[in-house]
Amino acid sequence: MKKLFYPRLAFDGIRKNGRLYFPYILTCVCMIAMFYIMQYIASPECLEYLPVGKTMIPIFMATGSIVMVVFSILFLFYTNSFISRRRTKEFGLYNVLGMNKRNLARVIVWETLITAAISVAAGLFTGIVLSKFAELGLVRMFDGRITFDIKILPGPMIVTSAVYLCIFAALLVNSVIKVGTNNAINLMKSEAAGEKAPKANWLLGLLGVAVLVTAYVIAIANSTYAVAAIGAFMVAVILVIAATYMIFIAGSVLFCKILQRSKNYYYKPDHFVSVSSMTFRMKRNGAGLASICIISTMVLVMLSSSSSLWFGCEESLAAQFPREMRASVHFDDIMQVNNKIFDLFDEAVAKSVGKYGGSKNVIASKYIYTPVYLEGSVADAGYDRSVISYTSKKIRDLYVIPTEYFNSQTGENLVLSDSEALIVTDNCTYKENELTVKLEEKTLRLSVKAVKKDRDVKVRTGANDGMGRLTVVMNDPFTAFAGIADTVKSEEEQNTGVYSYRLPVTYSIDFDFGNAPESGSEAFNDMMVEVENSFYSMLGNSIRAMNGGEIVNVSFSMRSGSDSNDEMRYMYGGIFFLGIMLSLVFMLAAVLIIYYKQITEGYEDSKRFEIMQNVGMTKKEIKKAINSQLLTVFFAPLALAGLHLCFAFPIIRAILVSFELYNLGLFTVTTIASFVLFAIFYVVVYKSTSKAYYSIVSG
Amino acid sequence: MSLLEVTGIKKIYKTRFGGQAVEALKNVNFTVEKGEYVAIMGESGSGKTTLLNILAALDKPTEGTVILDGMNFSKIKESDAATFRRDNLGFVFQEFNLLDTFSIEDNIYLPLVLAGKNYKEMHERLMPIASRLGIADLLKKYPYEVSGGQKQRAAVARALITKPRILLADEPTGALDSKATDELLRLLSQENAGGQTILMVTHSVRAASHAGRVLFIKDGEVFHQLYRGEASNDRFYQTITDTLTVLQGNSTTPSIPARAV
Repeated sequence: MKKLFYPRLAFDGIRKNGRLYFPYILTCVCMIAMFYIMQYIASPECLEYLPVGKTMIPIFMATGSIVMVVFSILFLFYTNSFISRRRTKEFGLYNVLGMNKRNLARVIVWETLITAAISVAAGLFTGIVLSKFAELGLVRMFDGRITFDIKILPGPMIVTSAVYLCIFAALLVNSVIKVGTNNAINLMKSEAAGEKAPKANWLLGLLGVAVLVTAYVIAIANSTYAVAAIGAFMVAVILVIAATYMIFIAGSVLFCKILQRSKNYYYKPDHFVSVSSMTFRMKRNGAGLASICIISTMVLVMLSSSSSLWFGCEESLAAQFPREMRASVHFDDIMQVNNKIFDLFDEAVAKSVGKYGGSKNVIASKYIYTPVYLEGSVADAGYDRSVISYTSKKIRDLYVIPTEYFNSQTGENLVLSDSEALIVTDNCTYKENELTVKLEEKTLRLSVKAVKKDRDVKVRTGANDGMGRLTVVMNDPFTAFAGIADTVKSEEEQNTGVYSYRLPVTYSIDFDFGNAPESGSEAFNDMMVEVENSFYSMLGNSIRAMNGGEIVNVSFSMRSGSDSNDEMRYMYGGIFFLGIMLSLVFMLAAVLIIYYKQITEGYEDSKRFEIMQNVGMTKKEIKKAINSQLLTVFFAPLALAGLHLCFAFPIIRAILVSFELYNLGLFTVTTIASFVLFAIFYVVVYKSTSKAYYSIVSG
Repeated sequence: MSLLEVTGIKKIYKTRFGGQAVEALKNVNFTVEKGEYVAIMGESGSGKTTLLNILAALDKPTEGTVILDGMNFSKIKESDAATFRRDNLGFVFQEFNLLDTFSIEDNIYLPLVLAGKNYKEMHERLMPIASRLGIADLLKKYPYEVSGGQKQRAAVARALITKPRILLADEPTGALDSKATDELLRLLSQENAGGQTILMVTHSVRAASHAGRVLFIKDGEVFHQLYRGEASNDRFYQTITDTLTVLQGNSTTPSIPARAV
């Protein structure tokens, strides 16, 4: 026997079954490359180019790596079993021709060696090339230092090779055991086996539908309250996965069987062939289709939520910090306001930034805040918090701001009489002609001069928390509200001895420096620290001096938009980045499942085509029947994934609110965009894999 | 006028780039009367399959005409060929050609469904055929659940349900054991007795001995034909065997004179 007999046999086996092996190896290559990239990005050599976020990124990449390994194992076992099922016949033939189990095992060992060698080598190569792009993308996202040298890191390479060689070893053991436990006749027959007629499983099919409905109901019912949403989401996800499998495996067959029962529907030229072969196809591909559906849903959820977090984070930061600096002073209740402190605050800000050219582009704001229970035109600030949840649909955030601040912020020239108000709405609408703000028995009644939307007139008040918000613009609100609060206070103190109302007042200014180092530079950061420190000590000292050392109930802060939320940016940036990478891998997996599905069906249908033609079907009739069911089977997972996404939308939105994403319009846009992009991708995959199908069928 | 008239059929296969031409059929002439049971015999490569493909309107002859009940095959458009086959011809194949995704019943219905018949009519047509062929109890089963002989009887039922002008059978017993073969041949004779015209291509003498007439094809021509007359199956079997011996003797072993046997 020639020396290279086994390697050559193995190599020929791979080459001859290129249609099966090529996509498999390609998937291995991509997974290995992706894994390497994750390892690479988490390495200190790569992270040094990032300004901050050096703790977050490795954590995300480590999480991603674990997901990758688990997914690789599951997926490679799936595809490997698919390939070996197709090849068993060939091994059976070798067996009949006189090769024993040991010889067969040797062929398998060589095949695995060749596949593993090609995959790991090509995977690392691809990973090294693409890692540079990934690094550049990440550095760009975080405004880090861009370099263009390609680095090859041995650490990630060793880890990646080790992990995937272990997976290949496991695959090898698995295939050897499989061949070892089969005898020749079984090996030859295995491909023809499993042609039994599908039975309708009523229990499983109906259970699937019931579980799906339950999951949807849970998702919708828990979508108002972020804390409940996270727990419910997990439960719903598990139920949806289970239901998807049950529906595709049993429900689809059941559905076809019900169609077959209706004689008038079934025995029609358009339905006869397609319904009957769909029954078989569903039985055989149910699990694969369910996997495609779940992977699709996963990709859609991942893409839409991680991208909206990332884009939304930039936006909400920009809204929160329209200028380089934000300084504010805050009183917990209007009864504590001391106007002298506002002057001291202005003075402290002016002095601490004086060194850097003073402040410019100033946005000043002073407002009262309270949540209210809105019933018609009555906004009750004294509603019972222990009875009505903060998540009730009638709760609004009410901000009251003086007319002069509104005019200075928006550049408008609004003139109101003392009984008039302008209302700016955000995330809600207001249609009444007047507004009555109520605190206990005291009321303040205003006629509404106009209602505007926040996106048209940006008013600077507190941070958006996703609630419906009414900003009331009126003349001298502080005197009016202090009057109300004063009455309530004296009444309460008489009745219970304690004044419990809280109408907090905030005064804030956002400003840029007149003459500052370049934003983001080290000198800029130093300046920020210096200014903050001087502001805190100056204001603290002057307040203490003013009151003769007595404690005043006031808080003040100074923060810069660029650094105080960097951790948030890095977290969401990291999530987004990981989201894209994992989506790519999952999409690749979906493509491969689809491809193998097409190939299998191609082999099955080519025989069937011939018979149909012999029996008197025209080519056109055959093509029509095949096409209609091919399309149905192919697009069913996408359709169900779309349905899952629709029902997941409200609950994911609720969860995103807890991640401080309040721009819900953005999430709608990213969701629709993700779905459209994914659908296009899906159609492209369909078109190209159909080619493989038709070439098998017609050949 | 005969039911089927085959006149001067010639079929030449050419390779795509005008290379060697192969003459599969030279000059075939014969007729089949209504209600006849004709077997066509010949060795592998004698042109049997080519002839059957032409009679099935699956292939067109290079020269010559095929006329079935006054319909000239050359006048049938390519796009109508499938419908024509479905409406006028019934097929039985060696490999049964049942679709594994259909129950036996649905397999038999297939041509009628394609023709747009309603379920009630199909069912009424099926019942007598199924009981004649002895498959009435198997209708709900799937092809993988029944034996080869049962599959072939289902295939015969599928061919008969359209009430074809002629039933074309291509080696119908080729994949059957001897018991199933006898059973199938008995059923075919029975259908023939009921008035069904049958044309069967076979190289099994036993199958041919059930026919009323046997045509022998050799080198692309009808070489000889035998009529059963009043002979029994066994007697006819003997005659066919003798004829085949002579035919083969002529071609393969020319040194031994046929008369000497």
